[in-house]
Amino acid sequence: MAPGDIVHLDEATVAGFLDGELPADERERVAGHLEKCDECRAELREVNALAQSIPAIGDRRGRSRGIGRLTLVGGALAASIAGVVVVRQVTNQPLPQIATRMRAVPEGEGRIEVVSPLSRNVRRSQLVFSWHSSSVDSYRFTLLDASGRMLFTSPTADTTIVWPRDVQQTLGGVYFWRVEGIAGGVISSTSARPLQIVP
Amino acid sequence: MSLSTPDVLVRLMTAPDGRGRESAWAAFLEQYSGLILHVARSRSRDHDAVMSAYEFVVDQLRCDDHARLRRYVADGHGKFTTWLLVVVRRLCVDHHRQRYGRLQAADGDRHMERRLLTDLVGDVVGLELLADPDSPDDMVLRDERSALLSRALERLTPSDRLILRLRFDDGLSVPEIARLLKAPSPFVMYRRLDHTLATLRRVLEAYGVRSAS
Repeated sequence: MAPGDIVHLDEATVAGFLDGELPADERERVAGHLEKCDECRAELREVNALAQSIPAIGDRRGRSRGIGRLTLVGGALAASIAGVVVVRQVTNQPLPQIATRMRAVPEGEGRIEVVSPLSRNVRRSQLVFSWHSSSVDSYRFTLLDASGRMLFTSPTADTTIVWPRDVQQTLGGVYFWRVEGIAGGVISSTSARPLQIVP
Repeated sequence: MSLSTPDVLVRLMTAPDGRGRESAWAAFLEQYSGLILHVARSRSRDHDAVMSAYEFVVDQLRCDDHARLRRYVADGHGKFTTWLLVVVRRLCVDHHRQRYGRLQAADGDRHMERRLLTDLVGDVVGLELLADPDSPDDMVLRDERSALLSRALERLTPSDRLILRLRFDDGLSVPEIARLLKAPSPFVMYRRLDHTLATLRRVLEAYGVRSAS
């Protein structure tokens, strides 16, 4: 079969096949196509691997939380207290001092690296905050307005968070965000990163 | 709408006005951004490329009043997350092709490399197919055996041929095939593969071919 002759499987059929929800005759028809079509078979293998790795993310979250409860109670408590203290300090300080008030860990274990957004100007559709760390167990994400007032703060075991639903976005508005992490009872933090929402 | 349609998608599809749609869309992103980023990250390690793919996927899911998502509501099989994984992966492929172009040479090579099932399972069922025949007689013998094996393969179900392809062309382990095809256990798949190969040998014997084994 020449590549140009192939009509590939549609999305619903691939999903139905992977979930075992196709009727028997339809499943056989799809199996016949898959046997001949390398591209659809590659897609099937890849999506299956992705589907299996998604529960693993959930498991990791569970483990991280468990570890936090069992071994980092003191650290977590300290972190939560420190978080409140830092936020209160931030809210009472002029903006230029926000970064210097953060307890940033520039190098070494526990360092949190920002993945996105890296630039100051961020489109509405890109309002996803993402970061990376090799050893941090749990995080606290905080969003501040231009005056340093806390708009949102939440603990998370994930390394991605979308713009909080309850916080209204103002086009042209300036905000600051940061992530704190707990690794081995030590708190680390990114600097407070500015962002401006652009169309 | 199907029972498997998640609440957040139902909200998005049934929102009475723009404000409701915005709110439902924000809730949708909150729930599924992790999945979208997971797929984007699986295809690239470059942070900028991942975020660019994420933005592309979100734009595509949103455009034309979420037309793509409405397709799941209209004719979706399977779980929504499985369907969304397929859609997001395809959008990431589209994004990559828009950005870097289609890898025509590689696709062509892959097509050229595609092997016949007869070549893949000939050895497995003990049928010497003489890959490099060095005499006219050997060439005739090879073609005869290949034709017989091809006829034997056609008597298998498409599912059985797919299992052979996954095992002997794609190189998946039997447990991996079992997971992919939702077999109850790897042992069921081992038995099925053994049964399929035994069937092939019997059919070949019925054609008068005695296997080397």
